Amino acid sequence: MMRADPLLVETVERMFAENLAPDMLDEAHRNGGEQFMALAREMGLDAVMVPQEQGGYGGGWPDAFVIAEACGRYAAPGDLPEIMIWPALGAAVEEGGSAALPRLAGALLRSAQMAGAAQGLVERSVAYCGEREQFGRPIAKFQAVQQQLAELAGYAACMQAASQQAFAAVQKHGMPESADSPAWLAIAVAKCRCSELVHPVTQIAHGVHGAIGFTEEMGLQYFSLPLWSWRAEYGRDTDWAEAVGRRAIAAGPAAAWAAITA
Amino acid sequence: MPEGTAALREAVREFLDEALRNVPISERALSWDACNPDFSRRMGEAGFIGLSFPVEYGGGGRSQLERFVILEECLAAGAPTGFHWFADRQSGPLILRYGSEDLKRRIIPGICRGELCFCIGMSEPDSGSDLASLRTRATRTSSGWRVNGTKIWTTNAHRAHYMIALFRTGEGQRRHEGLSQFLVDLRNTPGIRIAPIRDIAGREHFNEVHFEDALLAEDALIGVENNGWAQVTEELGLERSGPERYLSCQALFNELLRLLGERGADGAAAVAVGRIVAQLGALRAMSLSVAAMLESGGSPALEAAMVKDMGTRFEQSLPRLAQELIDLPPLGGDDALPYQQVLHLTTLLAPSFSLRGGSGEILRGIIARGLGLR
Ligand SMILES: Cc1cc2nc3c(=O)[nH]c(=O)nc-3n(C[C@H](O)[C@H](O)[C@H](O)COP(=O)(O)OP(=O)(O)OC[C@H]3O[C@@H](n4cnc5c(N)ncnc54)[C@H](O)[C@@H]3O)c2cc1C
Repeated sequence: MMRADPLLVETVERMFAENLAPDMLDEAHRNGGEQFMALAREMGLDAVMVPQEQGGYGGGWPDAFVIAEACGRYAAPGDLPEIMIWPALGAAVEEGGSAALPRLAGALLRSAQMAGAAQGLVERSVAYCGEREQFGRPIAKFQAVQQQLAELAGYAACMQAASQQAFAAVQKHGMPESADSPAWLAIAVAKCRCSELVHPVTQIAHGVHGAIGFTEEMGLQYFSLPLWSWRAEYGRDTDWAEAVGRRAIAAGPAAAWAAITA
Repeated sequence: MPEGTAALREAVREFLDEALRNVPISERALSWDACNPDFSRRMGEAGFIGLSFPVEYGGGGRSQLERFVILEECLAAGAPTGFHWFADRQSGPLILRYGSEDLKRRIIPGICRGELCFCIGMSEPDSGSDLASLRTRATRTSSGWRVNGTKIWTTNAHRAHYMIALFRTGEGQRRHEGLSQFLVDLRNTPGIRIAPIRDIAGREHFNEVHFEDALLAEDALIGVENNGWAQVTEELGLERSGPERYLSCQALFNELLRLLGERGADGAAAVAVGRIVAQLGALRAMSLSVAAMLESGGSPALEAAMVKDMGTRFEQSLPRLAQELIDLPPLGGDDALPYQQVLHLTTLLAPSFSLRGGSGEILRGIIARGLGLR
């Protein structure tokens, strides 16, 4: 259970790739993403976290990461991540819906969505730079561009690792009741780091696209607009950093290190 | 983390508490740059070196993730691990993978006991980032190899028993072909001259190593002749992904936390400290995921490059951040506060973090290649 179900990963990838390809996003986002949400419900993705004894899939937190991350990476419309997460917090599927989540659960979820959206921007940027030609060759051949894309990919990988670690910690220790749980720090680290990296990620991704990236037609807004909202929702990086920092300073070096490695 | 790591972590912490009692802060500040053969021998006795090597060669037979626990605890405590670090990290695994049975039996147990020090002979005066252009040549003789050329920046060559060296052995169409790895017995091979180089702090840890008709035995070749580039690439994956790529300044962070705790910290200081902890936690997650890939037999060169590039940039930022938070200048000498001594040493060390093991530009080039851009 510390890992996601490979079958779920495969199913999600296939369904998302078939319905949320770059040239399908405008259509998919019409009417609040009704069509995509209907499909997701039909496949039971909204009930992934519903316990098996209640007729659900009985997924764990690593499975929730898979769905939330993919929603970010494919710029899925609608609020599948919220709807999916509520049952794991003890609410019935119909109860929670897209209402605001408790702060920790919300921060956790947003970290996965941000990690996904950042990875989506990596993929878009790599593809675009391979096609766009200037000075007689694809701009991806210029070292200055390569260095930026490498940096971008590193940031996205960092966000992915931090978020995945937080989901694994919640799987292991449960959703934290207080800041003393090891899972609390993992969530704080993930939200802080993901929020903090939104700026360099969107800056590079928009930058390497040139003016076309600033057009509605190119569709980068499906990634960057949510990223700019998510980084502030359920606590900005500054808020989480302050909470983490206060605890670390009060704890002193040995206890702070013990918390990081718990 | 697999089950059982908690007990291992406790055991290492206890060991380090005791073993580091008399190690001065100036040595702890140097972290894995500091060599202390006595300490390494004690680590070996305790079974903390070669933890993931097979039991039949004196290793611990445990997983990469368990080994990770030992590494990060040593780094967090500022343990002077330099004497055995390279052997445990890359030379041992290289020999285990490519060495002959005889070689494994001869060398690996000594590494695990913490008695053998290794150095890495890759860079040359005219071949730094462009490693594949290296010119030191090993030529076949009737009974082995004759080596001529110069290695440089070789950390610990003056104390090491062995060097794992990359030499040119063939021509090849492309520069990456025709390279091979060798095990060089530095203490028993005539024709080797080691000259120390002083760093900006006046310390002598790296060297110039001259090979002047040095004769190596036939079996000094490690792995496959002319396959050196592939082997070295694998080795660099091990060299670049570990926790030492973001924990080199941990002694400074520890002293900083202690001082802020004593003096009190405002909101801005808490935010800054929190950001540091968040970076540590995230880099650790990345590094751990590489360790998991290594455990399952992968060779994650791209991911390792990401850990090193981001990790060393983080380490390098710490002395500056510390100075923003506490208005005390870096100061050497025993009269200075421990915090100031550590700040002094880490400030001087920091420029090397992003160079040793490959510069940031080169690492990002490797990542770009992994992304399919080159
Ligand atoms: C403390 C320390 C310990 C070391 N220990 C060892 C050791 O034990 N064994 C060993 O073999 N080596 C060792 N090294 C050497 C290290 O691997 C090299 O310093 C490193 O590979 C860079 O090579 P260089 O110093 O020749 O710099 P150069 O290659 O000359 O690079 C100088 C600058 O140019 C940039 N640059 C070069 N080529 C390119 C390019 N194509 N595109 C963009 N930018 C480029 C680099 O990024 C760098 O910023 C050590 C170095 C240090 C500082």
